[in-house]
Amino acid sequence: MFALTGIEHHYGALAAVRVPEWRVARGERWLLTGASGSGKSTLLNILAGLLRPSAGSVVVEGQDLTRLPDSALDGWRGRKVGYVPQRLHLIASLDVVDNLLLAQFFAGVAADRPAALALLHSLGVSGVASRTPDKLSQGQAQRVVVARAVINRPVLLLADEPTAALDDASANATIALLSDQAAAVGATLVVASHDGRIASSFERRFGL
Amino acid sequence: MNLARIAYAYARKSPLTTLLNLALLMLGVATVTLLLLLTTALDERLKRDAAGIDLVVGAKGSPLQLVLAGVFHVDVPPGNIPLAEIAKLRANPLVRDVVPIAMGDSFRGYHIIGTEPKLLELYGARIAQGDLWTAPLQAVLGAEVARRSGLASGDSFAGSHGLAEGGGVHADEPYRVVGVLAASGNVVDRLVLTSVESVWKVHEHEAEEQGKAPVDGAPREVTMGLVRYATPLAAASLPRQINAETMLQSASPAYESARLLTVFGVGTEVIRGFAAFLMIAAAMGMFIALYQAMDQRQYDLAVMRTLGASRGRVCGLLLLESTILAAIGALFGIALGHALLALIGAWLPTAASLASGAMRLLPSEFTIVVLVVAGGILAALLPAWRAYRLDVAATLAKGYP
Repeated sequence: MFALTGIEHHYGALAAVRVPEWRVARGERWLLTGASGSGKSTLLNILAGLLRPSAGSVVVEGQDLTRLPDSALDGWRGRKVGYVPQRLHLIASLDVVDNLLLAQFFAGVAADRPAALALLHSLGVSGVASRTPDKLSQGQAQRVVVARAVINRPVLLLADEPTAALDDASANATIALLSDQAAAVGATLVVASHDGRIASSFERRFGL
Repeated sequence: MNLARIAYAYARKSPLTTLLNLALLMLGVATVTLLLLLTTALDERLKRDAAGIDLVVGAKGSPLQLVLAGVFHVDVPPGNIPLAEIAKLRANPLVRDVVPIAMGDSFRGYHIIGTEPKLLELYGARIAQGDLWTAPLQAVLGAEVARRSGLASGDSFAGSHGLAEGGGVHADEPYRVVGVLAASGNVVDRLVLTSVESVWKVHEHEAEEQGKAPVDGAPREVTMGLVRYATPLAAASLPRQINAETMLQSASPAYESARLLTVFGVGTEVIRGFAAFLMIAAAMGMFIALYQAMDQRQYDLAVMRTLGASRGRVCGLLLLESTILAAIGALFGIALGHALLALIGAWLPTAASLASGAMRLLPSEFTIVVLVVAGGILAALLPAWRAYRLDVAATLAKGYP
């Protein structure tokens, strides 16, 4: 599904991450582990096409991201990647369903409100579709953020420290939610985390 | 979903800032629009009123006063001149025509002008109802005078002494309305026309009442003469000839109008400067609002980038937000400017003719919209550049602002 070869990334003279090789097949679920500052977020950003590595190649479904021009890379990310950032963040000036339609808009996909509402329904949050993000509970916001990440049926679902600051039950529920949604859209799931509580939920781990 | 909708959602999220910036912008644009409409209307009115008159000839004094009194009828004349001087002028080969006018009375603030029917040709006026005067104390009303007074052919009215309201009424010498002029869009609409003899008759009667019997054989006087040149070359020599060789003074309406507009120009430039200051303040307000918004929205923009938004799109979002705000401010400001002019026209009857263009759009108003929108874009350039240069990975790592 994707193959990282000879990846290096530097911030000035500081080496942020080094990955000689990492190959992942479609539909697999991976936990990207490492201590704080080991470069997990940097590697996730490289996989999402948000960062260009200082060296090496990133090939996703046969497409070498390092060779794509910026505009093509942005379009590719919108269509192929679902990204769940470390902080649950929705655009506060838009309601929940518009936050989902925003993902379709930036991906160049025609707005499909019924599909967005159906997705919210499947995640148990259809009742908050017309609410603004400040009216959501932490759990509801998390489900909406995941919905936004999968609405375009990405091939790669990336999550950065999704269980930080959650209690055990919530952490497990979050990983289950991500796994279920990745499986539902047929995406490969990569979760970057240093949270030892969720390690057992993944058969495949990649350490930095 | 589109960028405009996202921009609107952001503007709606901070309504106070948005409305304050809009209000500032609207006030500036409305002031400029109002000035533009007023100066255009004034310029057109001056040109229209003076269109058929090449030269005004009257008593020595201020040439501007001569033109203001004789052409625009907004001032008192400097004095009278002997009727014989009009006859002499008519004999001058450089003169095509001289129309005498005799002033001194008014009706409800509208000047009563003793003259000849040829005056109508000078202003391109025509009778809409009734006929021209054929005997003393018959009057023809301008369209506005007829409309505001409600008088029509067959009605009578008494003139008041002096050119302002409040003078003694010549009740013993009432005028009879014999005709009403069609609206011509110039000063004739606001005049009461009669024969020169009528003006003499009214004032002779007044003199008799005051015990000042008219001296038989005393030379008749008129207030001034409106001259049309026989040839354009007359413009070079006739005014000089009159000023140097006669007891009269000549004044060119075109020259004096231009001088008048220059005097007004100083005042309008000051107001225009103030309006520009308002618009610059609004542009700075937009800049500050967007610059601060950039700090607050960094994480929003970073998330949009993760969703596939290009650098150009997030940059365009800020530019669009500012453009929409500026365009709304400009359009509503222009509408407000027109509404203010209409209000001024409704409140001040003397400005009604200037306000008649309140519903007319001038080509330069399009320039105002373009300039204001360009100002809005300029105000958003730096915040938009920051959005373009946003380091997504660093912003996501940093978390909320």
